[in-house]
Amino acid sequence: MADAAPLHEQEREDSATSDREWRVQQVGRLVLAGVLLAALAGVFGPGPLSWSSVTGDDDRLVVDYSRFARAGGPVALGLQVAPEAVQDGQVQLWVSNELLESLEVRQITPEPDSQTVVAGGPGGGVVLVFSVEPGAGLGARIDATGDAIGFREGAVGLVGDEPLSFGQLYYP
Amino acid sequence: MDAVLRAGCIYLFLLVVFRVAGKRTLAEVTPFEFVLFLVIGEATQQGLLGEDFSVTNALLVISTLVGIDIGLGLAKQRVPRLERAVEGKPVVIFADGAPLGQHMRRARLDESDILEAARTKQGLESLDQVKFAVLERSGGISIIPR
Repeated sequence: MADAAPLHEQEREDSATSDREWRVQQVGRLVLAGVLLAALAGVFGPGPLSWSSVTGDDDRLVVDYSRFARAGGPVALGLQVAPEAVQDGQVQLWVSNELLESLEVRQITPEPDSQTVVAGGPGGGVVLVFSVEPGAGLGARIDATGDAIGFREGAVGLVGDEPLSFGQLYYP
Repeated sequence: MDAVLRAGCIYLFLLVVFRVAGKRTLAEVTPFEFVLFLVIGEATQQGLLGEDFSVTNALLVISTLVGIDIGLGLAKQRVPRLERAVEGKPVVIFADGAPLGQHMRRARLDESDILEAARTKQGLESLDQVKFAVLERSGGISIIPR
């Protein structure tokens, strides 16, 4: 009988602890469910909320990109060039240094005829030259691996046109 | 999105594979089976992560696997048939001194497995001392002595 009081006390403490743990677990499960739903929606990488595109005023160039990407994860950029932007059977696309610094390019499809480095500074970057069939546009894709953490801005443009700027958030 | 879908697919696939393989698959592991499980783990890891080696991807994969496990656990509480489908139910494999042949064959067990469980868990010497042996959902064998 002498031990009964401490055990009852222990039981009450256990009960309070159990209630607290259960509440924490419930909150944790809700957070987990929220994270998974957000991930499915594309908040942490590829997904419907992440897919975005930027278009020039005259629709000569459309850039498809992911708002959210991951350092060490695959990143793809889609480049659609309208037929009227083709000059002498060629398309010249400029990719900014800022964009290239946040990516490790693995493959460019179709392979460009040439890649020319343009001097640094605000206009610094690489010019990709593609051959295009007469009357056709260009659909190109840059496959890369994310190589940055945090918010990064980049720009892509047709040489001679105003470049299209966009931002991407890179998760670790 | 891709990380959650990949992890979900792998979870469901492993659930089905190990359900098909039977209860005893993970209960007792021989050296060869241990190596086999390591190889399965390696193959699973590649499927889970793909080409994405980011911390975020790893966190999402872990969250997905744990999330599905919690969800399935809650669903099993509410739907007993789901629990039976996912985990099976205990099977009596030995009753009143006689092995139940069909149940034992289906579970890939023989009398030596029952005897081993009787020795290690109850300190029994022979099958005559065993009243019931039950293959539990965990894959282990429970012994009820006479």
